[in-house]
Amino acid sequence: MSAPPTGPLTVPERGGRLVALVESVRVRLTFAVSVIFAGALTLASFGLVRQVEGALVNDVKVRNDTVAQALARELAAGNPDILTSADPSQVASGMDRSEAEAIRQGLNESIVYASGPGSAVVSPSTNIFEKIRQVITGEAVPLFSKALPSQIDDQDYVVSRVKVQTVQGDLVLHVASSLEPINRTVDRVQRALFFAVPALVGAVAILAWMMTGRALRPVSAITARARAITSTTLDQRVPEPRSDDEIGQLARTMNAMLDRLESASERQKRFVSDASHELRSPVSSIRLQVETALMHPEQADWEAVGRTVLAEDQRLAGLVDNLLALARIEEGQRGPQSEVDLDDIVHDQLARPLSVAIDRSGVLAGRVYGVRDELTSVVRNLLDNAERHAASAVKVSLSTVGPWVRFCVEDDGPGVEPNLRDKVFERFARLQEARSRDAGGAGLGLALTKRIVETHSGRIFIEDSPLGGAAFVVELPSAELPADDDESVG
Amino acid sequence: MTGHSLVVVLRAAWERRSRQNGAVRVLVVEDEVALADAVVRGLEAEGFEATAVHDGLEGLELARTGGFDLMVLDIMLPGMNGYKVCRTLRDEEVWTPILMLTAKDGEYDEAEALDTGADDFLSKPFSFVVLVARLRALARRRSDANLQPLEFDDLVLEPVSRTVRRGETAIPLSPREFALLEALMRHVGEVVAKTDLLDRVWGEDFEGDPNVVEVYIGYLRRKIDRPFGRNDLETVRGEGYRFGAVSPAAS
Repeated sequence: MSAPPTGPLTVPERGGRLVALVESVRVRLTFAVSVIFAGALTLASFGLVRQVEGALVNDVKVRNDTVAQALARELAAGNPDILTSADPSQVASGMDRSEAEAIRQGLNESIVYASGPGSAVVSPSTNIFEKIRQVITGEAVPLFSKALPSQIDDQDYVVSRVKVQTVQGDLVLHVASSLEPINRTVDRVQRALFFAVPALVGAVAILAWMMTGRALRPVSAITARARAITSTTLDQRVPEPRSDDEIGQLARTMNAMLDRLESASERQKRFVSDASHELRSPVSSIRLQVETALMHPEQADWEAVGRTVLAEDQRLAGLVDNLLALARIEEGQRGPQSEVDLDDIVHDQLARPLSVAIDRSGVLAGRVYGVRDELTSVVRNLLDNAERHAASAVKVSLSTVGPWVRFCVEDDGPGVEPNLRDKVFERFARLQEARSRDAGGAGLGLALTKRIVETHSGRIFIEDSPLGGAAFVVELPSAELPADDDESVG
Repeated sequence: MTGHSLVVVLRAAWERRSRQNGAVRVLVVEDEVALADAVVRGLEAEGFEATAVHDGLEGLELARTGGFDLMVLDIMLPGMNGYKVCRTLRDEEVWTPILMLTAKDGEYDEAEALDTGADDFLSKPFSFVVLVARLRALARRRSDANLQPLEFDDLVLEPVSRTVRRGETAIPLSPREFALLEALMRHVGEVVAKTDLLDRVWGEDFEGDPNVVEVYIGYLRRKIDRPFGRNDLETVRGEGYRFGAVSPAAS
């Protein structure tokens, strides 16, 4: 175990952890939810308080108006007694029930007073001097034997005023209600909200923290496992939560990806070992031939050496070509597509020195759309294969039949057992008996050929040849419309 | 500078001298010395006269002298790469047939080689037998080639730039289609036998199905005639093919 990091190393570590914390989805989500909720709740609280206050004030105002108007009406109708009676609704002449109720309540909670020149008329004072003084000084005259507070202003009171004309002159009736009970109620509501809002926000934050924690727990598990998976432990998988949500999908997708990676890595390993084996054998064969010949140059059959070296070199070149082509296809990095005349490729490939006689009288024409290099590999590999396994004869044919170009290479070799026909197209397939390594082995050629044919939307299969061996048949979509009006010369 | 020019002048003089003895002169531009030497030795054994240089610029200067009948040009070269050499020569209207050696390393491809004006290409590693066959074909094509454009009505075939157009429309043809059309247009109004076309276009050693001629005649019709509502390329039953039998005015 190495010593834990000390000194300056720990500082960025801690900073990094803090940043990681702030950047964590859980923290951010909880924070966002709390802030939004707190903001919304605060706004709603302010609205609520104002609404309550407005409604209460309005109620009082309506009641005061009702009281003031009822009293004024009675007064104008010549019924001043109403202002002194203990229960004005009893004395009133034309008052309905709601008015009477409003007056009864209003007189309990409100202060009624009069002002103006005519107020002496309604003054409850029996002392005439007192009445005169009130008129002269313009002092407000309290009614219903209530004391007047020292100051009545619109800040602390809701006041309704009604003007009444009397024989003595105009007077103004005031009905004033203190705002204090309303303010007390509003205060209470505010205080309650002041505690309730933070408590609710806190509860929501905790809930969000818990829920995100629960939702994200599988992510941490996946992260931890994924971090532990390296190229040598590709058999491990991330834990899959049972849920079918995004995280469950993520875990399953990751595991599918790991499956592919694992099999790709497997293939790669097998491929490298097979390819190096395959490359090594011609190289060592060349070296051996030349070395032994050089040891006794005078006895060596140099022509035979040359021929072997050439053959091994061709094998090497074909292998390198195939490896490159395969790598390029696997990487998805292919050459440009164009119209390709397969007959040209076949004639080209047949121009090199061959070890068996090849009947090419069946080679007509076939134009396909594809990558020239790749199609060349197809032709070369099938010819190589036939050449390797033929006893003495190979027949090549090419023709266009309807929408398909059919390319066929037959040999008179031992053929391929029907139950092994799929296996031949596997990479470095090693079939025992006849098609053995000694004859060059299937190597990569047929696997690559199949792959190329399939990327060109074609198919490849093996049949029995009339020559006695195998017939490898490739069918590719024709790039030409079937000829309709081209007459034959005959 | 002067030393270099002197070499060029001397080489050119030598080329002019060797022109007289009839051998096909091949310039091999290839930087891999062992490979170039092997090719030169092989070509000389096959009766060619071969000269090798290992640098693109040197190859360009020698090719400009016009003292060679054929050129084998590698792509990766010091001094100047093969594509540039080829393009420069074609821009300067030097039409020596060029066979390009391409390597399948993914960076360059054969279509590109033909685009720069090369006449043929061969990818490394190549068989010497195939190289010789290709060079012979190139030499044959050029030696009997008349480099004047062939015209029939609005169809024009340029043997030098290997292009075909009808009116203003360029018609891209494959090398085989081009050779077939060229063979037919050299005998406007005459019936050319199928076997003659086979010999001329596919080579006398052709061993495939002779009906390939019909297929290619079909390809050609679909490119030069049908899109233009023409019928210049005719089948003469039992005899062969005739290009331009109907007088242009009649169509």
